[in-house]
Amino acid sequence: MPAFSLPPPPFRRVYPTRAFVLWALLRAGMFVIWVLFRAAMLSDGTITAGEPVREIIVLSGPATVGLVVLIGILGDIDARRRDEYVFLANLGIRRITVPLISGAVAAVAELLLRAFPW
Amino acid sequence: MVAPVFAAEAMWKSFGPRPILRDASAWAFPGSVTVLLGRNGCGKSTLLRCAMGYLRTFAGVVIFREARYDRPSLARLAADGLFYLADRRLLARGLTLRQHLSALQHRYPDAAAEAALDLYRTAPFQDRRPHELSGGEERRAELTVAAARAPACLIADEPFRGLAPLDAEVVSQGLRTLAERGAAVLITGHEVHQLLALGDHIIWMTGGTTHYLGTPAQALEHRLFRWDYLTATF
Repeated sequence: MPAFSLPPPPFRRVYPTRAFVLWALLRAGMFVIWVLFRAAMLSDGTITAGEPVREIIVLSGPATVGLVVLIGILGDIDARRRDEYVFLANLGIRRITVPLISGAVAAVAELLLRAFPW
Repeated sequence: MVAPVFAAEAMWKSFGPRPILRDASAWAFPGSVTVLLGRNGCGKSTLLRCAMGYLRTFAGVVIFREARYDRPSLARLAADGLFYLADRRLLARGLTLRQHLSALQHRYPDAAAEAALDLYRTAPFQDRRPHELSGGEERRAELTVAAARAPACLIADEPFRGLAPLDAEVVSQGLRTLAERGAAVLITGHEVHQLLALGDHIIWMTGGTTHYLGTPAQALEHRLFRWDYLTATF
């Protein structure tokens, strides 16, 4: 048995899609929170308008790693909640595969955000 | 007697201070159906979960197709030809039976989906998702996936649970056919009449351990088994 096997279709498509949607929702949530904080700080004069966009969109290294790990854990919980692990195991797919796929999708998305010239 | 293709040997397991398995074993023999019987809560499902690697044991070993697994994992066993049908849901909620069979065939190119659909009469609802099926249809759909794998060993925890008599008959015939094709089938349940009629070997679980009782006829002659598990009027 190979050490690591990807799930066959349609599961191969399902887990990256779920991970991307989750990542997008978390990022959107973070952005909304940032907008609300920023509005509050602008109104009380803590900051002034015109902050660079990149510093807001690109997370620090530890925060990026934390987000990737979080999405991996949530991917695992979601697959467990949907009772999908027994079927995947019957396909010879190890349990670690789903959190690894979820985390990898989040990591790629974060890298693309970093690479974009904000 | 033919050597077992699957053996979970000498399993020990406790939940906290409460011992569940004490030197419990189960076997599955090629070309036959083995039935694991025992009272509610005696540890049948725990024994199977331990054998599949879902629960850690203090001691015990799984032997499948002459390979030894000190720390068994279903993914490894399945890649080698075992299929495990748990007592809970098998099919992914968002996917149809056809998609499950497609995934199975992608992974195992020799999977026989059409024959399995015929065997369990599930072709009419292969485009439905699990939540669109009745309990009996869903169980037959799960067994369809199991049969499509053409496993060397099928381990099914309570395959008859909640089935109407007609569905149970279809499942019974399907399991028998699988065994006739050479698979080793190991099942649990409480549908005693159905299981004794289907089984070739009976294993009785009591007090956390297991006893091989032989054929169903031999099991029915076992006084303690009759007294402890079957009713006096059986």
